[in-house]
Amino acid sequence: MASLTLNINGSRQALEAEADEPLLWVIRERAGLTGTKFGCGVAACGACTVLIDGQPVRSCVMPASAVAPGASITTIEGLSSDRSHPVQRAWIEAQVPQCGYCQSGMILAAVALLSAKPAPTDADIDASMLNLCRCGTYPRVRQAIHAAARLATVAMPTPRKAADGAKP
Amino acid sequence: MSAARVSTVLGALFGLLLPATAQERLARDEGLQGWRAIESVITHPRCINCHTATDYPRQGDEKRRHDFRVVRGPDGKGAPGAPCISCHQAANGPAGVPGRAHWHLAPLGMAWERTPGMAMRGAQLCAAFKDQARNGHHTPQRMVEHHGSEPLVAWAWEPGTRPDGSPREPPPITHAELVAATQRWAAAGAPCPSK
Repeated sequence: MASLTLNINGSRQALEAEADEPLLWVIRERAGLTGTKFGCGVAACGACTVLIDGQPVRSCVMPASAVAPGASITTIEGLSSDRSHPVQRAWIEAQVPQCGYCQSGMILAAVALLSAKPAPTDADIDASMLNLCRCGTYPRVRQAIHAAARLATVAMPTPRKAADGAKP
Repeated sequence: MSAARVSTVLGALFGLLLPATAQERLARDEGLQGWRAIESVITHPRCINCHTATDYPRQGDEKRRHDFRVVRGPDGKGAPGAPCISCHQAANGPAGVPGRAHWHLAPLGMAWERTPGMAMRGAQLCAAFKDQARNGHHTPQRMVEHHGSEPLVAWAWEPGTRPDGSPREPPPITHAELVAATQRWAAAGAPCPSK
């Protein structure tokens, strides 16, 4: 086991993990944040997507030990505490989820897209949203991203400054 | 006297005795031999899959379009919401996802395809390869350095395993042989085949 200090959703946490343990399992099992889902385990489906310094990353294939010191990890729990993030509001308004399993990764991918392209076209959405959804929510995903773009200029989620002292 | 020493001395004598045109022909032949080695590598799937002429990368030995319709993006690093490094980490992953730091596509100017999915060959490829207006201002000598020190080039010889656990095939010669061949080609004046 190795000791890691990760900044997850603005909270600096000291965690123990295997040397090559994927970030996904550290987030879920060690930090207890189960909003990030395991889908395929081979970076194919995107259910495990989190943001690292605003960039979407498939956490199932990224060793937690490879996260740069000080990097900010944002999971679905860190997007907002009250579902007020424009993408969350648009997602609820458009009733995007069906079973919902893929949606936390889908939402974070959408946040990354909107951070880079505040008013994406359908082609931009098609090129960027590669997450898989077995329920086929893609039309509503597209609709919600356009709605989120209208709701606000979506800023890169800035995690709260990590509190001093490690959280055990 | 060692065999290598004998060979060097004989080579020098041979060179002195040969007419200039014959020496030039020998140098050109050696350079062309180097070029053929370079061509065998840069048209290999480990290399050309990211040296495409398309707005997307390829994958696999069959050079199929990258899964999920991944795109090149504005800077060769994927779409804004789906950058290459979302999945391709700094090292090959145990699940079969290949990785090396700063994973990205080669610029379109360094595409080695004559048409989507079909590699250029021979004179056409060689001309494109050394055209500094297209290749990122790489002189032949800089190509030697590129082949020797670029981490994504080196990855081709450490390509990891496929998702089923079987090893990916590296190019047909070693990395050191590629660098030596590029050096021979550059030293010979970067000759290209006639066709």
